[in-house]
Amino acid sequence: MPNETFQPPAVVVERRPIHALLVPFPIVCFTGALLTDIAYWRTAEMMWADFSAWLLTFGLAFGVLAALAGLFDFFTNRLVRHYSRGWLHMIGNIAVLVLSVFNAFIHTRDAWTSVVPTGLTLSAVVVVLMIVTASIGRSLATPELAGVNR
Amino acid sequence: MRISNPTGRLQRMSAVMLLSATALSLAACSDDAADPSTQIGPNPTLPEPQQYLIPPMNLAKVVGWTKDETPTVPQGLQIHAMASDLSHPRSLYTLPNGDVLVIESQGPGTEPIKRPKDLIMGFLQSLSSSGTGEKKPTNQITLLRDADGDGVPETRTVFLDHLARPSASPWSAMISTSPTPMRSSVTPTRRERPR
Repeated sequence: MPNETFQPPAVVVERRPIHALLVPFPIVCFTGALLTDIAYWRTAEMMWADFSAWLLTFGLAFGVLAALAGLFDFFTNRLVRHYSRGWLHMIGNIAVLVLSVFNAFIHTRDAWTSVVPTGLTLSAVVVVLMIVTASIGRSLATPELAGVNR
Repeated sequence: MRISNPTGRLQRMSAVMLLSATALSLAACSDDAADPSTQIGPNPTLPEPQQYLIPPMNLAKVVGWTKDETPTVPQGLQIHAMASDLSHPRSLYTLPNGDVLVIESQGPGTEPIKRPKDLIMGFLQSLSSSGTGEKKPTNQITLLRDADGDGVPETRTVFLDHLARPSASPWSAMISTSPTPMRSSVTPTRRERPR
């Protein structure tokens, strides 16, 4: 973790993280993919597995945009980098994306094994991980941190 | 005797396909090919299903014919192209009067895209389709008439067009169903994936 000396801001600039606009898309898509995976697991109806594949694809598309915005926020905000929670939030969300890339490839298999058990497991792990990283991100977005630029 | 270029190409293609099918089946059976008793009866030995992370993709490379390349014919025979610039010719039929029907057939590209993989698969398959680039009319039947038998057809006309993936059928059946499309070789009515 960086150990740079922290100086109180000379000027406080109101600044909200840009990636907060984009993260809802992958969060909703990946959560939806878990639900449609469960639906396929219970019904073996191909429609649900197809839904999962689309949700993962669009979740990844928006997730990459959110990750770029998030990295921009991260590397332009020294205060966030100062906290280990900031690093955890960043690394955790990149892990979400990497796992979802694997999950999308698992979902290119045909029929049952495209979901059960590997795809379903990955979807569940991703959702749990997103809950953790989102709550860390929420703790970072306290008034003390959110509106401060350096 | 005339041997037209498309016929040779088709024959060569089917020979290649047969060869690869043989190679595949040989590879598949290499483990216990010696013992057929493991493959019959109520409990045959089945190969373990293989899972993959990235879908296996093996694309055939489009080779085509160069300008003056022809199949090799036995001594004493000649070979000339009766027609070229055909779009996806799949089968030939010689009518009793010597006319040749060339059935040009291609997927109409109207298959539903059910999941993201279908988009990528369609793109990759289009790479291994011959005649990429210019879009010539296909899904039609071209009639070649070589009345004087010199190997060069005097007339070349589109006999039937606007067909849906025509396949080789007896010409009588084709005429009787004209002008409605002939039977489609694949009917997209199955609910499950044909894989």
